[in-house]
Amino acid sequence: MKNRMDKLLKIQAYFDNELGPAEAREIEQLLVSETEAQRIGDFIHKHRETLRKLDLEHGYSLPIPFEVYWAGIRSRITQPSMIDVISGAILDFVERVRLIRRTVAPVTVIAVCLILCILAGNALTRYRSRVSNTKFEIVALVKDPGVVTYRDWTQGVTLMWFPYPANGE
Amino acid sequence: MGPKINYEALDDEALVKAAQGGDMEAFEELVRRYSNLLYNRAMAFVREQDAALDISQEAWVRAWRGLRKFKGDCAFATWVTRIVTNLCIDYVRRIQRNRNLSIEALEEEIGGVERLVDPIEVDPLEGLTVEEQRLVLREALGQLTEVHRAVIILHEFENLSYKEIAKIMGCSLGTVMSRLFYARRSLAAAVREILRKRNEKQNGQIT
Repeated sequence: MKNRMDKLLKIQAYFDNELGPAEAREIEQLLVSETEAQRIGDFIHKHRETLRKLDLEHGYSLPIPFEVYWAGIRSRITQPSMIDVISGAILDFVERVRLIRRTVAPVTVIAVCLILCILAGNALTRYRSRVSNTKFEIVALVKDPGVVTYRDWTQGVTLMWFPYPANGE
Repeated sequence: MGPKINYEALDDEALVKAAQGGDMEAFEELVRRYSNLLYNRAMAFVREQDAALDISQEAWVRAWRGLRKFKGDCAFATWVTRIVTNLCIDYVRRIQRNRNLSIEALEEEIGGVERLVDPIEVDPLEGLTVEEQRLVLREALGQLTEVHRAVIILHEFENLSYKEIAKIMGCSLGTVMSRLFYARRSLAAAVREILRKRNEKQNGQIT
């Protein structure tokens, strides 16, 4: 172990059931072989036992009559102070935003997806109809305007015109 | 008008259900049942009557407001005790922020305290009656710093693990371990000091 403090804290953790099996075995060996470890162990063990046995938490009772105590709570519930009102309003707002996020967010995502699907569908239909409506095309090269290609999709014909002699020759 | 409900005869579950529906009298009965529990928890932390009263009342107000969120996963008493514990931790944090960290506290946080570790007396309470032990320990707990007291309460009374304490107190696991160790030692030292003074007083009265 790195240092004495580290060892003490490990012994404490052992008695608080906070160690894994390997570390617990290490401490068990230490408790057998080292007097100081035994002493610390005894101290922590007794400390825990005493605190739990004595039940220190249950000794006080309200220093004022219950009716007065309850009246204080009731008035804060029914007539909230300005701070209560503001914090309540903020909490309400946060809750509403959460609710909106919970319900509206999924609906928005679905709506956006639907819109995208519709747009994509429209574009696809338009493209398809454009392709299917094309019966023939004439391609003229910009580089060489003398060359013209004629394609007829329905007949399966491709014709090319070349000027003779070619331009510039 | 329906027959008058005997709230005292209802169990917690029925009272919570009624209170969740807005029945203030059902909630009052819950407050009556657990007001001492909450006050004791607050007293254990803050050791001041007025502060403990205020914190425990605030816990009930928050419990009323958050009652709809209570789904019955744990006992109502456990749920409401958790609320007061959280308020107490906030109180301790506020005190901590307002105070400058002493060198000792700083060393404790960073763990460079080996030289301060001296031998521990195993059981200074031996020989006292249970009631005497309780009185001495209460007094000794009152002498601890808020942080040390908080870590003892969370670990010994609330039975929380190191990890849970670290989460609640917003610190590392190592800090929880060293705080708990020093809290135990400080408590033992306070007990020794109280007993020494008591013995001195008794001896003075005899002579």
